[in-house]
Amino acid sequence: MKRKILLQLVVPLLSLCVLFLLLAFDPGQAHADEAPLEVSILHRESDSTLWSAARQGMEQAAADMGVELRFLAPSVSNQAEEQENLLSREVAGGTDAIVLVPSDQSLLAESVAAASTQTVVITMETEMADSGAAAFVGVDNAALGEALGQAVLNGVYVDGTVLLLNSVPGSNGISARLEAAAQVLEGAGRTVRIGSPSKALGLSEALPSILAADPPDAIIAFEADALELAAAAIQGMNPRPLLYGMGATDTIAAHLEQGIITAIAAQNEFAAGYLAVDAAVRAVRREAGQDTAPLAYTLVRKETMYHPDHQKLLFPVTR
Amino acid sequence: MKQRFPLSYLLLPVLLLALLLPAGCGRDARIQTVRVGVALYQQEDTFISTVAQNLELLAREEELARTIKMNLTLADGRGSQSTQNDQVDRFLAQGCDIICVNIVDRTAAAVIIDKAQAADVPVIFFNREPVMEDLARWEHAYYVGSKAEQAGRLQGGIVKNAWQADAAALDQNGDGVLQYVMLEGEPGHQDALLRTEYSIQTLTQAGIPVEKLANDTANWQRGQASLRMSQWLEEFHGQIDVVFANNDDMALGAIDACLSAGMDTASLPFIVGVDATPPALAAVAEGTLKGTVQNDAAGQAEKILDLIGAFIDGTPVEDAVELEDGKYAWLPYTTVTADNLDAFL
Repeated sequence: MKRKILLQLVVPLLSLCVLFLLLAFDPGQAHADEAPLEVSILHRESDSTLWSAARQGMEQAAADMGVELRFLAPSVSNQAEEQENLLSREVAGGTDAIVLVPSDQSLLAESVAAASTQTVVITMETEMADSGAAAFVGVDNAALGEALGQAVLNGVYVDGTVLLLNSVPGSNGISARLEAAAQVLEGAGRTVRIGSPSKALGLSEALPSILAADPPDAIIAFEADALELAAAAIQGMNPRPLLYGMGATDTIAAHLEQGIITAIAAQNEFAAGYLAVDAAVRAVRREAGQDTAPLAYTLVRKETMYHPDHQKLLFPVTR
Repeated sequence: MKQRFPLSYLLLPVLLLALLLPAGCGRDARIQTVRVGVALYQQEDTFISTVAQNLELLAREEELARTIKMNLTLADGRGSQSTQNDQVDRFLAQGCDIICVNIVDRTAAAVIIDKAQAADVPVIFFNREPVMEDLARWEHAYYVGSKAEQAGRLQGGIVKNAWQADAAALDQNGDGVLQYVMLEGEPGHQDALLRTEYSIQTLTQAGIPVEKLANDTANWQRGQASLRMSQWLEEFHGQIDVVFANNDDMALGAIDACLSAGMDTASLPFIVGVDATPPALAAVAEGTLKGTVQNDAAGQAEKILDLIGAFIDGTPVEDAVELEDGKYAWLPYTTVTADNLDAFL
């Protein structure tokens, strides 16, 4: 009898001790804890040289925070379908967070909503909080569009024509900038034309004929790729339209210095990239501070491009 | 009477099993992750960034083919060997399975190879060739790249063919002598020295009279090349027949300077580069760049991935990649002019 009672007490107690030890020192859990956080970067732009400063900011953040980055560029720029596939693939692969620069928020809404239930999604350039994205890192797109529109008013008389480049068709931060600029210009009596790529021709192929058919007095490009293309397209024109836009690559800085570009709206791309990865890591770790205020931007002209503060925007990475 | 084994004794072991089993299954189901550290000498170098982009594209394809994850961590050495050494230390501390190094100082590879050997992590150098003695220090140190003298010969060949076809079209001052300026890569760099030497040797061996007006380093950079060229245009107005540039970035800088000086495409000197980067191919299409020599960025990335694949599979690297002396995976250069441009677009 005593033996029976002893066994009924000892066996359960021993089992509890073993259970405690295994849960406290589980080798599998220890290994998982050592693996760094993984953040996937899904840009809409296939050519990463156009966002190299932002990428360097992301890489710096990754180095500072001990995070691994996976850069997934689409084979063709601005294709929502390919971004959808990449989103699904990264979620299935178990990535801890995704930083997404969406090509079209309407087409990607469902995918982002589904991804947000399984991982952290941060967006840049286009806000998608309604689809479950945890945070947005970028400028106030409407305000930026208005500022570019206002800048053009100085250089184009009433009834003059301004060509707005719709380089990323669809619903996104770029189109928000375009709509805001169009409102300012039309409200001030300027004629607005929209130049878009077609299914047959990309913007680089379509632009020369758009310009030749009806040369505008000014052009606004709302992102770096379109601004570079526009600068190349108008170099040989006489008279040359005024060119305004958003972006701060080396090529854009060179064109600004040469006077081919009249003014640009520049943001600190390096900081944008850094903050995006920072927001992703904070969201994964459930830390405060995921939300960032809209990033600042500045209008820079040739005459002011070597101001120290503007140099930091145009040349964020020193060598 | 025989005592029946109390079922309650089984309860706790079963409970233990039920609690632990799901946790174990979750970790066993994680996809294998291969970590590759990629140290670049300078990320803003157009050719190097093209190689890096190709590496990332191919890594994604490899992931799908092998059902693994391949995480590439890129680090920009910004032209500093000590910065790059720190980056390699970080890769090894983070547990990278393989490191790929585009070395800043080709005479300083021994330090990196020794660290990699100590960590038993294979190291693949690419595009900037370490000295042979350093590469020989360890069996798992490799090099992927192209032979610089071939680039020089092919570049010289573009100019030779054009001169022999119609010398008058190139000879700005009509004196029957090919006057040239040379934009060089960083001082002492093996590729810069060999491309410079063999491009001119190709002309002299063909019996073409040449005269060097000027040469200077522009450190592979477009901006620096533009400044050099601007100075030369002022100094040698109308005399420069040919501009040799050790790479496309510098050739494009020379074009920038000429266009800023008010030249049109027809009045530009005959400008040639090396690498066949996307902007250079666009310039060939526009007619501002007369030719370039393709440095196969995609091919280099492919060979690097093939070596990585051999390490993942545990198979001999010689079965995956053709190696010279068990170390060198060479890729050929290819001439690119307006005649065959379509094949490269």
